[in-house]
Amino acid sequence: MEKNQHEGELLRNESDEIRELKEQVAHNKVEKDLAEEIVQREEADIEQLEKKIEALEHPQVVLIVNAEPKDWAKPKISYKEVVILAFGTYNEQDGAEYSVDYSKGPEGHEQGILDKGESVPVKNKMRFRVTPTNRS
Amino acid sequence: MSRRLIDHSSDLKRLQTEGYEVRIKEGFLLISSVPYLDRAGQLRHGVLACELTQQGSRAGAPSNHTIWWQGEYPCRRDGSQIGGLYNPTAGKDLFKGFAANHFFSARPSHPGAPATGYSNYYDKIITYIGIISAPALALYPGSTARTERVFPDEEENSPFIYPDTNSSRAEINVISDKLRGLRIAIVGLGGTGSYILDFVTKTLVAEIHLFDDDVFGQHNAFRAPGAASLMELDAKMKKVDYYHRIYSKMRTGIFAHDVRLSRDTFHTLTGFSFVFIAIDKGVLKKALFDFLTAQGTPFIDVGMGILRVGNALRGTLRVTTGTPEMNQHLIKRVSMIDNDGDDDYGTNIQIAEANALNAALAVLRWKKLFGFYIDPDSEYHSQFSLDEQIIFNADYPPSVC
Repeated sequence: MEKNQHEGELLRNESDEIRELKEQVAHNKVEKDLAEEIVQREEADIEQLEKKIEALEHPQVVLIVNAEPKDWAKPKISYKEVVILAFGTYNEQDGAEYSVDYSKGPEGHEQGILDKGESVPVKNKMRFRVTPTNRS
Repeated sequence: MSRRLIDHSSDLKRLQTEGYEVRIKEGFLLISSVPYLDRAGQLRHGVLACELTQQGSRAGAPSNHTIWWQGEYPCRRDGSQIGGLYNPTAGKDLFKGFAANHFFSARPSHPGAPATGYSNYYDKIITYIGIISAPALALYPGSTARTERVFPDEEENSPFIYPDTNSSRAEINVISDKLRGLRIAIVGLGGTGSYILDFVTKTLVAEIHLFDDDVFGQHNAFRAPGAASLMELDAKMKKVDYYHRIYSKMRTGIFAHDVRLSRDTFHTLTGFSFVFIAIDKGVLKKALFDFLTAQGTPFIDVGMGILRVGNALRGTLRVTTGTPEMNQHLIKRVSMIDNDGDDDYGTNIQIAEANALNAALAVLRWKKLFGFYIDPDSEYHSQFSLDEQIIFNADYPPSVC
C-alpha cells in the first residue's frame, strides 16, 4: 500500500511536470512567434530604408538620348553606355565613332562633350546626343 | 582695270579730264597731290581717299558723305585748323601701303542733296578739295590739284575679276589682306566642300585647288550652293569642272583636280597653305592627317551626322582643326571608320543648310587661324548641335588653357 502510494505520488509528479513543460513550450512558442513577428517587421523596415537610400543615392532617371527617353539607374553614364542606349550596340573601332555631347546636366556638368572612355554624372531629363559625324 | 572703270564712269572721267590725279586701288578712289597749308603755313600735298561704290563696270553713287585724308590736318593761313571738316574718328590703315591720318565729314548744304551726301564722286571730291585747298591756293597762287597726271593701270595683284568693294566699303582691306596669296586645297566637293569653296572664293587667297573625282549629280544639286540647270545636270560634268566653271566667273586661281584621294595621290596635296578635308572616307583620314602634319600643313576636317527621329531630324556638325603643333586630339574627334555606301544607321542624310553651316563654321575657324577674326580660346574642335543650337568647344593648345 505504501509502495502504491509512493508510486501514485511519483505518477502525479510526472504528469505535473509534463503539464508544466507543455505549458513552457506553449509559452515559448508564443514568445517565438512574437519575436518572429518583430524580425519580420524589422526586416521589412530595413528593406524599405535600404530602398530609400538606394533611391536617394542612385535615383532611377530618364535620360533623353537622341531626342528619345531612356531609363537609367546609375549615378553616371559612360561614352560606351550612351552609345548603347542610343543604338543598342557599340563596336569599338579606331578613332571617334561618335560625337557625343550633353546638356541640362547636374551642377558642375551642365553641358559639354563626352569623350570616348569618359563618364559624366547624370540627372533626370539630361539630354545626350550621339552622332556619327562623318558625312560631308 | 581701273582705267576701264574711270572711262565708264562720267564723274570719275570728268575728274580725270579736268586734270585731277584719279586712281582706284583696292576698291578705294584716291585723289593725290591735293594742296593744303600745314600749321606753319607751308604748302603741302595730301591724298583724299574714299570707298568707291561700283555698279558693274561703272561707279555708282557714293554710299556716304565722309572721306579719308592722308596728310597733316589742313590749316587756314593763320595756322588754325579748318573747321567744317572735323570728325573725331581716328586715322586707320585702309589697305596695305595706305594709312589715312584723318577722317573728314562735310555734308553738302544745297537743297535736294541726297541723304547719303553727294549724288556723284565728282561733286564729292570737288567739294572737299575746295575746302581743303582754298587757303593754299590763296597763299600760293600757282598751286593746284589739277596736275593732269594720269597713272598707268597698276598691276593690282588681285585674284578677282572685279574689285572687292565689299572690303573697301567696310574699310577692312587690311584684315582681308591677311588671306592674300594663300594656296588652299579643298578635298571633297560634296555639300560641305562646295559651300567651303563658295566662301573661300570671296577671299583674297591666290589659289583654290579642288580635289574630287565624282560626277555632279542630281542629288548634289540639292545640297550645293546656287542652282544647277537641267542642262548642266545632263552634261554629267565632274564636280571639279562644274565648280571651276561657276566660280571662275568671279576670280582667277581655281584649279580642278579630277583625283580620287588615296595613299597614292596624297602627294598632290603638297605645298598648300591650308587644306579643307570634306570627305566621308574615314579609313584614309589617319594617314592623310599624318601626311599633312609631316608636310607642316594646317588643315580642318569637317563632318556631320543627321539622324531621323520619328518624322523629324536632329544632327551634329563637327569642325576639327589640326596643325603640325596640335594634332593629338584628332584620333578622339574624327571617325576613322570606312562608311562607303550606307552605314549601320541606314541612310546618308544631308541637308543644304546644314552643309552650308558646317562649311561656314569651318571657314570661320580657318580665318581665325590666320588672324582675320579674333580667336581668344583657339579651340581646335567644335561641335554644333542642331536641336538646341549649342556649340561645344574643346581641345585648346597648352599655351592657352
